[in-house]
Amino acid sequence: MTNRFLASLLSERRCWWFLAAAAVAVAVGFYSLPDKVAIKAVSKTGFWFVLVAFTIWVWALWRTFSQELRGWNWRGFDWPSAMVVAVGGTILLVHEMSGFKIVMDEIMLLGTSMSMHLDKVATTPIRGHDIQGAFVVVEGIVDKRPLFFPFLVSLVHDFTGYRPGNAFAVNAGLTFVFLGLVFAIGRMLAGRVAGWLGVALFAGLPLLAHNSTGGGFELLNLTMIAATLLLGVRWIERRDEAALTAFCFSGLLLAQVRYESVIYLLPVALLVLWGWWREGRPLLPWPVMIAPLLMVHYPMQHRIFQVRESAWEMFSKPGYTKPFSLSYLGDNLEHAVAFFFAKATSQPNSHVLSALGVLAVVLFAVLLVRRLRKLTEQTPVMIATIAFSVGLALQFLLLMCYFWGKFDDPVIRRLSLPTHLAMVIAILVAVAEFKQRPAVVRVLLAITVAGLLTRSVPSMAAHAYSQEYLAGRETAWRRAFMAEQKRGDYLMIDNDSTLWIAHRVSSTPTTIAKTRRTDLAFFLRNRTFSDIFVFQRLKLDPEDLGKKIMREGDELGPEFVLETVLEERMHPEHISRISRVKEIKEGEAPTITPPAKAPAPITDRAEIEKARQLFLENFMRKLP
Amino acid sequence: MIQRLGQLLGERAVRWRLALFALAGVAAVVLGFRLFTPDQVGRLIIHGGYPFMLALFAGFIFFAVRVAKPHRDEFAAWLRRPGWGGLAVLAATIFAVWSDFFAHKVLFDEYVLQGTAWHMHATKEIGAPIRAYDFAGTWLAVDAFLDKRPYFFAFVVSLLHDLTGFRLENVYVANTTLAALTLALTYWLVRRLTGRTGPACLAVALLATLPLFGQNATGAGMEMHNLAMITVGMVCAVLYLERPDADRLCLLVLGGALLAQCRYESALFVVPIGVVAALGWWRSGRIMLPWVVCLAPLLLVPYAWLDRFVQSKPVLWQLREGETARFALSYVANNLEGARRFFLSIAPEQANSLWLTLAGLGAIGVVVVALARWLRLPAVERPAWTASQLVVALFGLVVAGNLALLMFYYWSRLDEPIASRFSLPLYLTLALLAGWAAHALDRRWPATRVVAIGLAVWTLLLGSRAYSHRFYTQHNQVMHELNWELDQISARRGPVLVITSKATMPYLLQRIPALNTGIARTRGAELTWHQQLGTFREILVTRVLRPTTAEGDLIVDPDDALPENFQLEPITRKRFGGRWIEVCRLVAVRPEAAPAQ
Repeated sequence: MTNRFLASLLSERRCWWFLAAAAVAVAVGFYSLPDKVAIKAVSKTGFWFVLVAFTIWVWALWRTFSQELRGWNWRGFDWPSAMVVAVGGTILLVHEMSGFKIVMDEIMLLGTSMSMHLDKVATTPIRGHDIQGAFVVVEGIVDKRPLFFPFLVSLVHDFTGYRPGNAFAVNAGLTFVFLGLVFAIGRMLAGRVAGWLGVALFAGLPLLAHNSTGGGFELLNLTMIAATLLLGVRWIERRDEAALTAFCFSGLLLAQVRYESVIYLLPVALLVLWGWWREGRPLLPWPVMIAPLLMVHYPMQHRIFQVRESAWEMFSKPGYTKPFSLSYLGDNLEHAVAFFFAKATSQPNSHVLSALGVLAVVLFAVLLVRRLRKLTEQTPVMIATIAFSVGLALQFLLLMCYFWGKFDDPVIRRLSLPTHLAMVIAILVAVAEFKQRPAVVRVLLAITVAGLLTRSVPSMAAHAYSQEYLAGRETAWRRAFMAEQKRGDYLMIDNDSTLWIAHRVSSTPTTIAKTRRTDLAFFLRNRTFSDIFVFQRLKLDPEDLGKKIMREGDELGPEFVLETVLEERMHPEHISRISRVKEIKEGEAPTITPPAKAPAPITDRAEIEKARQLFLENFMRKLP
Repeated sequence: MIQRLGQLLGERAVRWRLALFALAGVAAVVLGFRLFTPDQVGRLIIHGGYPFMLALFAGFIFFAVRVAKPHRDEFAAWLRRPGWGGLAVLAATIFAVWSDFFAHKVLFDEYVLQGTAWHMHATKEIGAPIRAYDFAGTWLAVDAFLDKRPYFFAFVVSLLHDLTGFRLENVYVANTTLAALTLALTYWLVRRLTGRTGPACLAVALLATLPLFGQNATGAGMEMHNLAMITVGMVCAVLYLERPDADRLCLLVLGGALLAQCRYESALFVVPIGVVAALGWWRSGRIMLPWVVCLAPLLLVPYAWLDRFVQSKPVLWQLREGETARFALSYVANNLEGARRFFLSIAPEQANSLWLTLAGLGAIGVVVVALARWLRLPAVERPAWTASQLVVALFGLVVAGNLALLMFYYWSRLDEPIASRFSLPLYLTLALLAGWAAHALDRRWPATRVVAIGLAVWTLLLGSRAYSHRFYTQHNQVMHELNWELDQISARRGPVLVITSKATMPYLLQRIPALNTGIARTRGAELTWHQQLGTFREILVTRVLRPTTAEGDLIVDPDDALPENFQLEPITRKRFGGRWIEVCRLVAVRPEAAPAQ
């Protein structure tokens, strides 16, 4: 059988075309262009690659599901389960305010979505101003983050107009979609009540609530993993071109959500091969054949890690020299255990999910050995689950070998979400073993709901776990400042300039402001901005109470005369401050001085227009 | 042919009616051009314009109902199941409205129309207020002028005010509805031309994705109304030609008279309507001259009056510095260059649709080839033109002629945001022709599908950038300036008086008394008197500051400067592009240096 299958693979011309496309993709993506050219190419073409892949995916989904959708009947719909999903999603969304939880990740993603919306380019704006009545991005850079999430947000901008809150709307919508998919996986594995159990387990996970109300790509990552798994099931069941295209492009898009999600191409490939083997011949519709070419931009974008060493963010954890190493495994595992079983006030975990999950993963491993022996007898959902368990395990292992892979770190804990999904799937597989005893799943459901009400909901409502992450709270504080301003035509000096630009406020990093003092003085003198503000963070010296030390990079220098506008102590050791630039000195002389003599009046219209043009050109040159 | 003409004129009653029609024509010329002086016609329009427009509009509705009545069941059936056509028109309208934001975009024009609508609503007279005050709680216009713009659109908005109460937003309701009507009638016309849904939906999509269409559908100007009335005129003409009868002819003639009152140059559409009326007589073999048609020349008299009034008042021409005539050969080269740049632009700064331009030009090519083939056939074998083909051809020729005429106009560079709206009738014609041509080519290759795919690609590649930036609307600095001024002034506790170098209308429409800077310069004593009396809590001055060098060195714009004895205290300032707007408080007017009055 295997030999015959291999022979059919080799004799199929389409397989060779697929290999040729893959070879071209590898050559172009990895070798043909110098790093900087490749990154520039991503900025210009990245959006279009994702658009084509997304369009093919939607078209394939329509082709494979259109028959069922046409026969859809509201009477036959499972309304109680829809209610469970709706209630679960609502619980996740109502306890925390929407906001950018992980800075700068979420801001950079938003910035990329802004450029995609405005100019169909895949760059994050770093300079933007209102010059002639419309806010325009003056300069941008290609971000290291994959493009599918900003692409989706940009689509929402396209249809509803640009607003930063669209990122939250996307995540809120994805929350319901994800829970719906979890329900579908649960129902396929162990019946309807198991589906409810899966939804309840996730509804009781404060970490999910934290991300559902954020602007990051974690929800999309989870949703795409679950969707790809389910499409894998459909492919195994149907083994037709439409199902294969939908499944492959789901995997292709999943690989473009988070950096490490490219791992899931492995289970996708395994399931494709399994389907071909069961079919006795390879199926290769044209979209799948060209699929490797639609991933060309991915390795190109990844070269940012070679060009910008800071992209690995090794500087944030002094003492580490390599981003990945097996030597980090032991330490990271300790932190993972610490996260899963920490107190509700310190970590957004769920003890019910952690405890059941750890037990279920062990049971799943035992069952896996048994089921692998009789793989051909397994149901499609079990085969897809087994394949995806490989991807989920690999991802967990990769994170445990990452220098910053500590699940109890406020910035990193979101990376445990796929592991939570793995645990939920393991629980559902374990529950399937007790199909003859429905009381088991009911008892588990009752325990989960009790845990949700007594531990998770209070934890989500207090969300104490988010309080120690100062950057997130500072971002919310700065957004509140923006909302309070009656006029949006001010300039903000802040090293997180993208945050302001993404909200269509002119901004420049503090590091640049220091070097362009003369230009800023020009703006101050001419009042081209209604105000010039600066954001700074101060650290309180624990040795000497009252002594404040400015964060490195926030200091503007003595030439800038500042007046504090707003100050808040959001952390016992830190003060966040927004000040107004009152004056910029050039040596001893302030730059806001009236001219020595009043400008000569101009009455000739042509002269007036010429002066306006001259000023505008100078204005553009001096823009920070 | 002469024999046929003789048959047509054979009836005595027809000859009498024709004589009456000729008499009405002579009377119209005398009334319109000879009998009254320009000042007298101004007064006649002010006092008689509203009743005339009301009667004309009521007559049109009356005949529209009469024509539609026998088809009531068809309408009801269509409303119950509008099908793909209904869905396409709805989606296209939503798209057009979504593609831009509601605002006054062609300043002065749109505010003057709003002012005229308000004045018509309040007084049933034609005029645009320039001064208004709150007298004991009643907001009264104390000074109005007769504007150069035809007043049918202002009349429609005033009707909305009459029915729902005065509010500025009514103009957006009107324009959105008119956009939907234009798209629906575009669908109907192409459906009539081709007998198919696909090409009709394609024409609707081509028009709705045009950024200029969305810009005007969400604006406060009269362009959408003009476009809607052109389609109404075409539909009336098709209905009449398909089955000539007296009611349909009256509907056509009244529709034509209304269309002539939409924009300055829309009177040109009287020509195709006249030709269609005559063709209808020819086709039906009888001359129909109901009373409405006999009196038709007189319906155009108010248009002639308004034109004469405008001719006599050069100040209304709004010429720019150095220009002495509205139409001249010297403008052509510049305007043609502007048109080329506009129609073929791929930059998001222009509200054009390159795909509609290309599809339309291609369609013209197809029309030319089809026409050549038709002419080469022996006369007896030539297939007769359908009513819709004739109407689209006639109206299309007038639209082309109109655009050609505009190339001689002093302010018709289509790549200027203010002037690009003049291209809308041409774009409508191109959309109709593209729908027809796609259908004609469908027999050989899937043209409708190809044009639709091309449209999708254009929308993704170029259109989407235009919609997301909306530079063509956003770069209107004066709009931003005015909105900001209104925000600043509305936020202050009233009553306030505003002195501005811009038009006073935007303030008056917000019920804020306003005065032009030029007038204020000479009314220092009166301003002081009211300051002492406490009539206004504050007198605010808005003025433009301009840079004089590359480094800035701002001065007050000479047009905005008040005499030195006007003591001003700056309140706030904001930059708009390369200039600033400053809002000041008038502290006092020192009497010692007041200019002689």
